[in-house]
Amino acid sequence: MLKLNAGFSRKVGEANYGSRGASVQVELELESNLTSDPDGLMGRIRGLFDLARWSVDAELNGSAQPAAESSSTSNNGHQKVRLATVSQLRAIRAICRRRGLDPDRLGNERFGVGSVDELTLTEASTLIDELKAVPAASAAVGGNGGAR
Amino acid sequence: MTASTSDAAYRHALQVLEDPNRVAGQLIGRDYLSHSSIRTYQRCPLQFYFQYVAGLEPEFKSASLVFGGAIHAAIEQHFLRLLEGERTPTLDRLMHAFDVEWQHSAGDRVRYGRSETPASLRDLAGRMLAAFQAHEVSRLDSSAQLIGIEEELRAPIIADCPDVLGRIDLITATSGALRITDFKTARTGWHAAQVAEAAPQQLLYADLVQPLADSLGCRKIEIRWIVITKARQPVIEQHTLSPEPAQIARTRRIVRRVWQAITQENFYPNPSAMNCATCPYQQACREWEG
Repeated sequence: MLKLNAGFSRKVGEANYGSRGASVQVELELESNLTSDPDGLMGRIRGLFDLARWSVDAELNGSAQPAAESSSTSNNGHQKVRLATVSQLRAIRAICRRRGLDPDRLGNERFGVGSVDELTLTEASTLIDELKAVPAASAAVGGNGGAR
Repeated sequence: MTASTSDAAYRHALQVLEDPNRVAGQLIGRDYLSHSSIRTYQRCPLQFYFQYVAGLEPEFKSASLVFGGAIHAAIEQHFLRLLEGERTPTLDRLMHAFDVEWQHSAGDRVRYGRSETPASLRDLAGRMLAAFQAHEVSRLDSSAQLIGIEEELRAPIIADCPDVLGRIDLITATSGALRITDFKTARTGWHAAQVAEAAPQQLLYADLVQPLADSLGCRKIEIRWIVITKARQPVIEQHTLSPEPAQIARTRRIVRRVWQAITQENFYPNPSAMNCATCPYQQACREWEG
């Protein structure tokens, strides 16, 4: 059995002449036959140093937190605004195509977005309902500029 | 497969700190986990290896798998038309969607069951889709919003694991609840055991749709299975589940354990009379030296 031990430490300056540092030691056991494979062994050593360097930098940058169990809210605890689903966008485009409407222009007039892709889930739902409610022959939805 | 324990340990050590999506990309050729891949590992780790790590072509496709996919395509067509405000599609239109999907997926390596032929399966599809159309499950409640059909969602819902990717058959919302529906074809009606077996996938999907529920102000997520039986006179069944947070958390932990086993390259056969008979890697398994 072969033991590799790699260490890495780094210190970063902070305001008012302060500093912050982190160091890590990583040990890994490898099959001893790797000594007959210098390239393989060097790769493992490089990898181990990468691992040590990565973990120190992650610690210093504050990104070494474990992933959240669920990501339904953003970091500040507020709910993220969810964009329209692919099905909704496909439906909006299909209805607009049948009625000779420009979906992006409609989205802009109705909700002030640059493209329908930027509609939220609820906006897309509202737009679909409005499009479906208007008979095909008189499709003139969204001409009077709603707001987000 | 030929990797030493140390290689696996090294990969595992990297996985602790590295982006799991990247690890997944290197190991299984895709930077996410699907429930189907997790289920494959649970059924037989060696089958998982053949399919996702070695990337072997399956020796055959099961006709029932292709059939299920084609029925899904027809039902997708039905709800797409509803979402677009069109009239309910005719049975012919649904059968056209079935045929297109069948031709697309079947190829020349379909393995049929006893007494199954392409024609008999097409007849069966016609009966099942007619039963679907006649049943209330094909109609939308006037208060329900259709949010997604065959909607693909992907999110990092499990710590230290790659993103989970799910394709959800139907997502609808009412004033208080977001409902995810999974359509199933089955020889006979479902009992509690089948619901329990199907639950983990939908529990993961419940996690995936949580941001949608939040965005729509839905306080509750409901899981529904619609089972269409493959019978002379098909029957439509509905089964529902309101997931508890503890059930979702347990499912996440199980997936995490499966992922850990995958990254440690724990690949071994899990012989079973039921699974081996339908496994599309039987020859590769026989030739595998261990």
